[in-house]
Amino acid sequence: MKRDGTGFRELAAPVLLVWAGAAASLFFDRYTQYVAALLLVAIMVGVALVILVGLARMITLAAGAMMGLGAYGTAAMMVHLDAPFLVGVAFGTALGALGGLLLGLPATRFRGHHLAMVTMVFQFVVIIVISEWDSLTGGVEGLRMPQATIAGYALKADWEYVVLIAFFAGLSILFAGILIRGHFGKALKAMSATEVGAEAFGINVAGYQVMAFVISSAIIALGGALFAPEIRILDPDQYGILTSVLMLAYPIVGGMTSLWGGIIGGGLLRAGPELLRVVDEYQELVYAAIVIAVIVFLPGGLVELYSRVAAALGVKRTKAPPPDRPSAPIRAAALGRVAGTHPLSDPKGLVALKTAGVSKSYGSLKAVSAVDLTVAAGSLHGLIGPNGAGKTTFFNTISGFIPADEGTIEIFGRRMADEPARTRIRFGVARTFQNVAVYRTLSCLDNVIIGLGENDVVASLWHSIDEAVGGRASRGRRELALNALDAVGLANVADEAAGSLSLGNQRRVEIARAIVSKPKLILLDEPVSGVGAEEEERLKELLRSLNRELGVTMFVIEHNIRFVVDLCERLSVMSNGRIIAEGAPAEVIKSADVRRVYFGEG
Amino acid sequence: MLIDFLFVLVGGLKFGAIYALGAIGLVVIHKATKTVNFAHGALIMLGAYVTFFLLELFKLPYWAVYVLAPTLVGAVSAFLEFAILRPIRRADMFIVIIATVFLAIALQEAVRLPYDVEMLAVAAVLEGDPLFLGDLIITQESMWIIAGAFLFAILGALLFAQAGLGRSMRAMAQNIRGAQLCGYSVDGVYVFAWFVGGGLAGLAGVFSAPSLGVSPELMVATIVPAFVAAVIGGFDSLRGAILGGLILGILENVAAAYISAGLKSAISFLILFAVLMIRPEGLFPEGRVRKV
Amino acid sequence: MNARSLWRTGLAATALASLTMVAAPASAQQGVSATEIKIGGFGAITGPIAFIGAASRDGMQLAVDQINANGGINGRKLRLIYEAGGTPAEFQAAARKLVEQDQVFAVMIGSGSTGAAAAADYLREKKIPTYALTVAVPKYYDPFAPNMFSGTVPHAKFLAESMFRITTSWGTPKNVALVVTRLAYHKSVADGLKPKIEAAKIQLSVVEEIDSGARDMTAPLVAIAKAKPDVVILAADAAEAGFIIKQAPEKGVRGVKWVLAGSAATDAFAPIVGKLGEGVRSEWFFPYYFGEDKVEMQKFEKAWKAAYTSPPPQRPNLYDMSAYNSMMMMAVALKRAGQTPTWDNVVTAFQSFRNVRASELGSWAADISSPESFGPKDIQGNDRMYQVELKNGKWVVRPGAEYVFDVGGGS
Repeated sequence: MKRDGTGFRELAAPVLLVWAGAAASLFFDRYTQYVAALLLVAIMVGVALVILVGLARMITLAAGAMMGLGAYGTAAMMVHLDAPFLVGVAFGTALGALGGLLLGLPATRFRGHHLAMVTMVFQFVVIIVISEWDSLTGGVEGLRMPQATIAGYALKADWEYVVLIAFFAGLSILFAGILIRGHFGKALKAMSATEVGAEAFGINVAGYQVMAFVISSAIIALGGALFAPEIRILDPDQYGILTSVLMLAYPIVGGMTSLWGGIIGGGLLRAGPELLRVVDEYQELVYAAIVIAVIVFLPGGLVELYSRVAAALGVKRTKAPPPDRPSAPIRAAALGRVAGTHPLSDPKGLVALKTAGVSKSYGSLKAVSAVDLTVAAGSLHGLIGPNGAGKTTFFNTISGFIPADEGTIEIFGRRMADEPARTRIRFGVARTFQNVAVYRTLSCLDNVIIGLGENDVVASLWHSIDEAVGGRASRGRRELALNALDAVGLANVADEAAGSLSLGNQRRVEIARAIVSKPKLILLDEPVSGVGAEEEERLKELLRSLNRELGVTMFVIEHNIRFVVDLCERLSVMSNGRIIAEGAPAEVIKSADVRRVYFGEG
Repeated sequence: MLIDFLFVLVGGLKFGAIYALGAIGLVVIHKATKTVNFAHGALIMLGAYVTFFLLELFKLPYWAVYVLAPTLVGAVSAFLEFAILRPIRRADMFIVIIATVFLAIALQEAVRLPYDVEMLAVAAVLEGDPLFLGDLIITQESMWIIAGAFLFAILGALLFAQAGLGRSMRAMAQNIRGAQLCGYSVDGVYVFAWFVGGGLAGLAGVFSAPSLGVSPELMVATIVPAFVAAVIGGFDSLRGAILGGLILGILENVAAAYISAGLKSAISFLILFAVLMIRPEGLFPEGRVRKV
Repeated sequence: MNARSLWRTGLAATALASLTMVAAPASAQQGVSATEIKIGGFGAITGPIAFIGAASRDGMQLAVDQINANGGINGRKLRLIYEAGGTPAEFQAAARKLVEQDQVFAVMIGSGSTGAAAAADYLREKKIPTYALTVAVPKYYDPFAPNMFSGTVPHAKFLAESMFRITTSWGTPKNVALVVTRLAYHKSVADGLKPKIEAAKIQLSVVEEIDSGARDMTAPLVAIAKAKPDVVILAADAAEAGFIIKQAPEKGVRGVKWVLAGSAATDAFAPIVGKLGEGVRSEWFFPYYFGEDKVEMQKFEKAWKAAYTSPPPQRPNLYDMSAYNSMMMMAVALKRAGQTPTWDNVVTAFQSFRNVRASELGSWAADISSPESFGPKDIQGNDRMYQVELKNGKWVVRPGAEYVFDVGGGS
């Protein structure tokens, strides 16, 4: 039980290290202290951007604007409303969070360079507003920060700011660490690995992205707010696009997906210009060259350098990964433990899935045309058809990824309206994907934990905290997930990244993830494509026993006819968007129609 | 009045033509290599400096500059692909973006070190008497920029679209492995795409030099409008990039002249935002199949 | 005594030792040794305004080299330590590094930006003698502190008056247009100009703001063409001002007089405008322009070119001149402060300045600036502005167009 109870210790290490560094600066001169304060702010920015850029995979060129919102929010409150410093800081931070929300809402629609552009628009607009709104912000001539006072104590010396900022930086690292290591971070990693795979398990991708924007913007704004009195005169320029670009480099150079990456990237890159004072006007050139060199030679960032050096020195014991055994047996006993938690033990007699007149067209192409299909509860039902028959489109309408043009879909008697795919899981529907949609960067265990549900944004924040303190709920979820992994024969690789497994084992992870969501109906999209004959046999056994032990209904699309005929109790055949035959598998494949469209016979 | 509007229009066309030329190089590189080249502005800046050197220091005639500057900048661009982008071709998109951003900073500072000046000026290609059309005045320089930049932009687009090179680049961008199987050399095509894109940037630099001045700040001054123009056009559409540049140039001037001067810098962002929200595929997208 | 208490004692002793080390130099003023006085300076040497910061450094270094070659100050050599900056935070760091780590005796500010004004706050509190080469933004002067001196470029209100005088130098115009960039320097000058124009009952028909770095001037020019002003004032740098004048004819703006802010009267301007620039007038900070056949100017330019043999184009520039003269002023103050310069007696020495020129140090020093004076309430050294006009592609100082202002404080 590697992580139980040690969460806080692992989280405390970076906080204590940063605090130790800050404390050390107090023994030096004011220049060192000032730089220490700058670095602390950069570290806050670094960890904030790890959440947004590294985990949520949202590129942002607006970090400077967020910092500006924090600083100007604080200054405006103090100058115009005579608010105390900390009230100003709270307001500035809230303003940053609001900025994150405003940017996050439209931003979720975009990826890649389009997202970069949208955030750049926000960046420029914020700076233009600050520059133009003279009466509030002092415009381009700048705004002098009033004296900061906390409870009557005037903060004047640089060391006082080091202490103040270190306190909040520590809190920010702790908070970011809890989220990054906890359920929130896992959900982010899950969606960056596969958005459809995440949506299928109830992860609201857009919601998480907005939350990532809000949280990271708030942390960056807090840094800007706390440092504002040390800048003395705020001007819009320093929060401009260049600052945003330099800050975006923090997580990328440091290491995008870990807390340490943000801390190291932020700390070192912000220290760079100070260390490079010796090269005078070559400063920026050398700095850019170093960044490029790090990127080219260490694509994983500086944290990768650490692990490389550590491995070379033998400091860090690299334990050989347990053998990835594709033929690990399936544990009937473990299956029983999972089954014990399952609500639907005897579903016989009900209808699991019923579609009536479902159609879907792409332009003039009618992909699915008036399909009526009934899947009995507790059954193993297959769907075959030649390429382009419309199976996948039909499958996607059932699982909610594509809205049908016409027709109705009922799941266990419930009519599905236009609910998004992520809500299917609430109706007891889980699915697997043709091109396996495991969360590659997460461990097998965490993949399955996502399958346990409670993946909405707010719940994930609470789970993150619960995990950090080693709460009982988290332990219970972990236990359940381990059981499920055991059930599919993957207990030995529970801590390995799912992406490192063989295809067959990745399919098992998908199945385990599907089981723990307590589904009544599992939609399996080509569950054995690309796996070897032996593994095919194992998977078939696994599905059968799941059906037998748990009473889960299975609806399978498959190209491998032998497999489907073997597995299923009932088989439908689709061609040109229609169901052309249905019945017992052995009978169906003998029908002339099927042989003609499928095997080109007759 | 009408005459004011015509002045605004001519001004918009002149700068729009330069934006278009900048945008089209960006699109060529993106179309062929799926790389968003944030260093493109730095290549344009380099083109302007090369123009200054050739004209003012080597006293070459302008036609020679039009040949040499794109070739030299194209070569630099191809070298950057080879030396820096090739090793990270398979890396995360963010890494590639940051790499090109810092390349831009490095190029800018590398030029600044020996040439740390406020601004260098070069003479215009045509310095004859302006053309008077009623009250409207068009200088020969403006005419040449509008006509010349568009000519080159359209030539570049045709070269890419019609020649076999364009086809291999497209094949590559759509399916690297498939293109390899068909015998195209990925490395060769990438280097070539960067050469062509860089060459277009160099050309944009030659056109920029007299109208925008030669200074390291040209990097920032050209990258933003080039990007906005490309996004308006759909980012993968050469025709769209040309029209996007035009639209941006004209709207910037119309906004500055008729609404508020403060809006001039804001307008490009408002257009960009509107396009992204309403038609993220751009105003003139290339026909492509939406993936399901 | 066991190992542990031994370790503790050692630690305490080390702490004590380091304390006394910090405390020791308090008796003598920092930055002054038997042989050397350290002077700090900072400015931007990378980025868009590097041509200002680098020139500030080079001009001061030239002065330092000349001073040292001629025996130094009261037997001590000067040493310039120059730090880079850009944003307010970087300037704050630079100022602290100079004062706290390098332990300089005085600080020269080689940047006129808001960032420099931000760093000035720290220097003001430190009470270290500080001399700004080219700061016009009002925030530098506020709140008043006796240790914060300013050289070549005066407070924006005087620049505004000087530009107003040029505006009326062709006779009182009826109708004036004003174009201003979004730089703090230009904005504060423009803010000072507007009430003066109104008070003189001159119509201010156009006020157009442009981005710093703008090149497409269609919009302001179309507005100007419509308003038909007699004089157009450009509170802008050489590049923006140059492109406005260059594009003016093609937008139908003809026959107007142009007035430029001093920051535009550089060597970058003339090549942009070509023949169109003839007759353009600008304020100017010195009695001479580059290339003028005047003894003092020749002396400076010769020395500069000997020191920097392969300089970037358009150098030396006005920031070299300002820096050179400012370092000379600092040297005069140090010399007047005597054998044991302290922060207090150097400030007092500055306050004793009445029309001081560089040649007070020796005839080898070039008197390229107007003489400087200070007083207990007067921290502004330069008290006059000049005008230059572009003739045959060269800036020429207009004789008799000197504007001497009263900086107050009784010098």
